[in-house]
Amino acid sequence: MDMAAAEGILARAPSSAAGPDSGRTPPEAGAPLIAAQGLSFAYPPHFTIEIASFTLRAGERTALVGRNGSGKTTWLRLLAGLERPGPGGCCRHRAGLRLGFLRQNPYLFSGTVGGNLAYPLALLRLPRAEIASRVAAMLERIELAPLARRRSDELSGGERKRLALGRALIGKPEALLLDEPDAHLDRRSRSVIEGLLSTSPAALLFATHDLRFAHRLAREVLHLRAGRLVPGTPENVLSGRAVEPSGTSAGARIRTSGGLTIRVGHPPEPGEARVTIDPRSLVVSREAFDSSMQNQFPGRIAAAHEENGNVWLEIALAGEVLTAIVSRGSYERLGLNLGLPVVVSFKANAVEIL
Amino acid sequence: MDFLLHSLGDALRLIAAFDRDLLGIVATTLRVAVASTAIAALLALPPALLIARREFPGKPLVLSLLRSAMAIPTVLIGLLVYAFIARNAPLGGMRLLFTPAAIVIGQVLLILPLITALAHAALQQRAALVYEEARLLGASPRAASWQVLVESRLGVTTAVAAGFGRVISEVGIALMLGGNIRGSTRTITTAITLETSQGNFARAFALGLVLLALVVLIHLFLRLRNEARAA
Repeated sequence: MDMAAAEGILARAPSSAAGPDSGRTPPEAGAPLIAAQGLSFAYPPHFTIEIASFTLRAGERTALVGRNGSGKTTWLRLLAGLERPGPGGCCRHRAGLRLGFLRQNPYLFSGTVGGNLAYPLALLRLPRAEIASRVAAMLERIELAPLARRRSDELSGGERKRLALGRALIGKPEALLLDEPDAHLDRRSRSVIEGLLSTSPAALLFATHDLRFAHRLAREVLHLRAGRLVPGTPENVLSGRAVEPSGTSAGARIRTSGGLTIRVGHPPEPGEARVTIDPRSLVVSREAFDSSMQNQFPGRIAAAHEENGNVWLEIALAGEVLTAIVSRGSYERLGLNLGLPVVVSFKANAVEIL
Repeated sequence: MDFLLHSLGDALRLIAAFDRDLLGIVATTLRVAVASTAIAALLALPPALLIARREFPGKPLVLSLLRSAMAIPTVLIGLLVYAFIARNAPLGGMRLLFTPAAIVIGQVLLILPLITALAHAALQQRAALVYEEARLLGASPRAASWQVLVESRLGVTTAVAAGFGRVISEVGIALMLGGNIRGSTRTITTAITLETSQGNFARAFALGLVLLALVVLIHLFLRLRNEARAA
C-alpha cells in the first residue's frame, strides 16, 4: 500500500501539493485514508490517550463521543499528524492525502470572509477567475454570500464556524477531521453545517457531545472514555422496534433488541428505532417505588467507576445494559455496590429517539 | 535662554537653506539605519518565529538572555566589533573599520536581540495556531511562516520600528566604528557630538531637530499605516 508516514506536521508533505484538480484518481470507497496503530500520547499527571487501532476509510463517517477531557481532541490531532505520538505507534496517511481539519475554535485569518475562503485556493496558484467562482459558490453553500466583504473578526460564533468549515472544504479534502463542529451553534448555523457535512464526499471523523447529531451523520459512533475507546454503545443507545399501540396500553413504546420494553414520550416512526437516554436522567434506587416515571426496571450493578465525584454505574437489566451517573454521595448513602440488585427508573420523556 | 533661542533660530535657517553638508549627513544616517534595520529584521524574524512557535527545553533561558541583550551598551558592541575589524585584528584585512559597513555591522548586532525579543512577544500568542491552521489549509512551511507574520503584522512592524529608532539615535557604535568621517561615515548623532564639542551649537541644534523630525515622521507614518490596515 502506498502510504507516507505522518511524523508530525513538519515532516508531512503539504496535503494539497498535488492540488485538488490535478486529476489524481480519488480514493475508492473503502480505501484506507488514515490508518493508526498503537498511537499513544501521555498527559503525565492524568492519563494516556491511546489509539490501539483505527482506520478511516474513504466514504466512511465516524463520530467520536465522550465527555470533556475524554481525549477526543487529542485523538483527532494524533490522527491528523498534529501531535507527535509516543514511541512505538504509527499513523499513516494515504499518499498525497488531502486532509482537512476543523478546530473547535477555528482561527480565521484577518481580512475578509471571502479572503479566508480564497486562501487555500490561492496557495494552489489557481487562476483568479476560478478562485473567484469557487469562493462565490462556497459562500452560497455556507450562506454567507451577503457577508463576503465583511471582516472575519466581525462574524458571530456560528458564522465563524461556517466560514471555517467552508474554508476547510473548499480545497475538496478527501478526509476531514472535525472537533465538535456542532458545539455552541445557533439553529441556522447548525443546519448549514449538518447539511454541508451530510453531503460532503469526504470521509469524516468528528468529535461531538451530541449523540443525536452523531447518529444522524455517522454510521459508526465510537465512545471514548479517559483516552481509550470503550466497547459497546456509548451512553445508553438502544436499538429496537416501535411497538404497535394495542387496546389497553396507552402511550408509545419501543421494544429493544435486548427485549426491554421502554415507554417513550413521543410516538416513534413505525419500524426500526434507536433511542438514547441521558445517563444523568436515570434514577437508581434500592427498591421499586411509585412515581410519575413510566419506566422502571430491576437490574444489577455490573460495573462502577468513579470520575470527578460522580460514579458511573453500568446496570445490567434483562437483556440490556444501561449507564447511570450518580453522585459519589448518593452512591455511598444508598450503600450501592457491585452485584447489588437495584431498580432503574426514568421518565418516558427522558428517552430521546435518534 | 537667549543663547538657546539664538541657536535655534540659526538652526532653522540652516535647515531652511538645505545646507549641503547637512543633507549629506542626513542621507548617510538614513542609509545606514535602513540597512541595519533591514538586515537585522531579516536575521531576527525567523528565529523569533521559531521561538514563538515551538516549545523546547531552555526556552525561558533563551528569552531572558534575549531580554538582557536588549540592554547591551552601544559602546560595548563598538568595542567588540572594533576588536575584530581593526587593522591588525582577525578581520582587519577586510578594511571595514571606519566605513558605513562597520556601523551597519555594529548596529545589526545591537538591535538583533531587540527585534527578536519584541517580535517574539508579538508573535507568541498566535504563532503556533496560525502556522498550524495555514499548514492544514495546504500552505508550505514558508507560506505558513509568512502568514504568521501577516497575522501579527502590527506587532512585527512595531518591533522593527523600535530597532530603527534605536539605531538612528545611537551614537556609540557610529562613533567608534564609523569614525565620524565627513562625507562618509558622519551621521546625525556623531555630527551633533562633534559640533557641540566645537561650540557650533546652531548646527548641533539643526541636526537635533532633523533627527527629532525623522523619528517623529517615521513613527507617525507607521502608526497611520497600521491604523489604515486595522480599519
